[in-house]
Amino acid sequence: MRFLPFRLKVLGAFLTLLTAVLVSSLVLVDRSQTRQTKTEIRRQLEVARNVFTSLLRRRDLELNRSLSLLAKDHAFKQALATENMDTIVSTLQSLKSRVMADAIWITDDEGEVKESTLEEPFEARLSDLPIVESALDEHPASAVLRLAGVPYQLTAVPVLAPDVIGVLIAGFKINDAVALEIKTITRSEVSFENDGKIFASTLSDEAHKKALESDLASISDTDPTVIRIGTRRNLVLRAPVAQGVAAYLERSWDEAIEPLEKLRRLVFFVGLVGFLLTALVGLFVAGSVTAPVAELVAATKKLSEGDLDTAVDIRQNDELGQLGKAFNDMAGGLREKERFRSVLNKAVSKEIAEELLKKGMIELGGEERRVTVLFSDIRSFTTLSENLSPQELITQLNAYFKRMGAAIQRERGVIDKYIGDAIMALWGAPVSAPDDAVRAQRAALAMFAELDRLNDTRRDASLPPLKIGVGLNAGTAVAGNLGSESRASYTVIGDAVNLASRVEGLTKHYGAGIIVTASVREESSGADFLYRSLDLVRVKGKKKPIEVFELLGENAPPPDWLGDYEAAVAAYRAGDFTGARTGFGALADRNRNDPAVALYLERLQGLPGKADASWNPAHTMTEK
Amino acid sequence: MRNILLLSAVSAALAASSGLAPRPATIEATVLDQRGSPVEGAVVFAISGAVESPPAKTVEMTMKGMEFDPAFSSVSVGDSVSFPNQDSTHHHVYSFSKTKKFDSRLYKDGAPKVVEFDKPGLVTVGCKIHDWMKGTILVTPSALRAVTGKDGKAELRMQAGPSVKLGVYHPRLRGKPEKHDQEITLKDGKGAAAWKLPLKKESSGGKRPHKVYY
Repeated sequence: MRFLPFRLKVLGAFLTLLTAVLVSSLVLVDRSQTRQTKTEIRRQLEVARNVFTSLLRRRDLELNRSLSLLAKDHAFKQALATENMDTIVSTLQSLKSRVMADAIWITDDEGEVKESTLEEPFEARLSDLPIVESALDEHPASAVLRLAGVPYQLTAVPVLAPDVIGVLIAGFKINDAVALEIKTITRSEVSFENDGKIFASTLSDEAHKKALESDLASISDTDPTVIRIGTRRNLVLRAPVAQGVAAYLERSWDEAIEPLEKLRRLVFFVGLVGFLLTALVGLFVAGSVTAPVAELVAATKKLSEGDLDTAVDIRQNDELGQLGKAFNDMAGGLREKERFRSVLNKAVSKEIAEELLKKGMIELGGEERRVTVLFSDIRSFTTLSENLSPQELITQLNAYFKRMGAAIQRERGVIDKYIGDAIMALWGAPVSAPDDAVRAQRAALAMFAELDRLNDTRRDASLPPLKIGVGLNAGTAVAGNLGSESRASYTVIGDAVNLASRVEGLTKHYGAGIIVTASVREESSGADFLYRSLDLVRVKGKKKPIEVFELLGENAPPPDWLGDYEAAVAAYRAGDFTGARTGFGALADRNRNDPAVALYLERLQGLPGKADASWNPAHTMTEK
Repeated sequence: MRNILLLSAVSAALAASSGLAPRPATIEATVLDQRGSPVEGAVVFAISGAVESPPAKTVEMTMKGMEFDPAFSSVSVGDSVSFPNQDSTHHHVYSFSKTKKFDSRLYKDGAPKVVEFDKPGLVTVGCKIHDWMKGTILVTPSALRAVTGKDGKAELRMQAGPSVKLGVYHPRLRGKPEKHDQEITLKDGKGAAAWKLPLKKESSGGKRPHKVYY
């Protein structure tokens, strides 16, 4: 997927939401307002229609009243009955001017015109008009009818004497004056249609009339219809008046909708401002997130490239601030870890390593420490390895190292290094404990226990048993990071270390499993280890002899021969060679396989019965 | 006396034109309306033919409750109609009919207006004060007239030549009654006349609703 900055995503989401809210509210407001406006116009147009109808009724009523008065006049009846036409004509003319009628005429008792004030010749036979028929039937009647194509509002009343002796008819033209009167009351435009032509209207604009005329067919009696006059829109309602005659009531849609247009513009403007504000605020908010994130990304990159001195500067009191702090802490931790990596690699366990780091107990620069150093070695490993394939060699060695390493780590020893088949382990660095020497010896004993178990499995696999020697020495050594900058390693160096290595070398000579120096024995006074004295020995490269002991076990009852053995060793050191020879001889008789006894007996051969004054019991090792 | 003379003169003229002496005749008249239902109360009368006329008489058409009672009456030429006023208000009886035009003064008590009808035809009587009051008087040439029963039938007996002219009227008749005059040929002194008359609907009352055609 294409990378899309978080900032744009946040902004996009904000703006999409805002736009949706704005658009939907605009649409809703628009719809409801439009509907309301339409309803309002419809109501107004309906009022106009009612006004129009009631106007016709009122005029009809007036006309009817005047005509009825005349029809009831006895003199008029008499004049009609006696066909006194002069009287009738003058009476009709007087009535016409009084009620301001546009037409007035009278018929005989069969509806035939007797006298008329109408000037135009009429297409329709006036006697056939339905209102005349009705009046001949003694029912006064009104209708809008076309005379010579001109719509008239007509009223007919019978002249009763008491039979119908004639019908009196009068009417008004439906014209601009009528339209204007309705407009004055209702403020709606009014037009009258006669067979598809507008013949009277309050509209002064010819184009408007044309537009209305062309839309006449589509205009409804019930629902106001929109017509377009150029760019303007009007709503029109039709009020049918008579066959082929209808009134059209019209109101401007644009004027009515203008407040809505204003509202629309306002909402749009507010929406635009809101949009911009949101964009700004969104950018700011998103920025407050993305800027530190970008900083963190850059810092993480640097960190992954190995620049552990990276730190971020995020001073925000929120999750990002916390993240920044966490990052800095992490980088700090990594720096710390990197510094102590060499130590940690050797740390007995994670817990200890963390403890060390926490306490800042390790001085990497180098310091003198009291340490107990353990060396172990597989005897005749070279011979053993000669018969093995490289894979087998590695497998067997690793099986061996695994068990030994475990034994050492159980006693909190630090495996300093593997040198071929040899192991160097440390107690007292990087961290000291009062029982370092004790633990080192326990580890050595455990190594032998592990070796026994390893050999059991080797025997099962038809492999020859392994034999090892372990040497321990306690003393002062220098601990610290050694090596080039890129490959520094925390270790200890010094005489104490060399001596431990030498002591391990003695195991073969003395045929002993574990040899410890006197310093080790001294430092484990609290524990119940079982030793036997081996020798006073001057190792190679050292002038001063040291006393070495063989570690036999812990918390074990001393064997019955140990007293005799120690006595024999003491006799030897005192120069009582005879006594020593007797002692070792007796021990050899009891256990022919004791290599230390055999060594002493061999040493005593050729020695006199008693030593002279120059006797020095220290043995000088010439081999390594 | 005048009536007898008149009728005699008419009979004589007819007899002279046909060359036949009048003989007794019976005419069966049937009056139906435009839908073919029998019409009751139609007056069938002879325009020609002779009968021994009774002496002239005076019939009453009372004004009571601002109506004429009866609203329709038929008389013979030479008869008179009297219009007694039984209401507590004044009435003014008039007629513009060509048959007989007359005009009373305004009166309430005292001697009622009496009008003698000297021409046959229809007379519509009104009251100047009360527009809706309407009385109709049918003046027949002779007393030779009969009123149809429920079955729409009436019988006329007279002295007549080979044919006789008959007229018909009903208070609800639409149009001029002369249009329905018939010449009936007699055979063995018998004749039959039948009419289908256009009648107005029976009015429900005095109200005349204003009809509006828009």
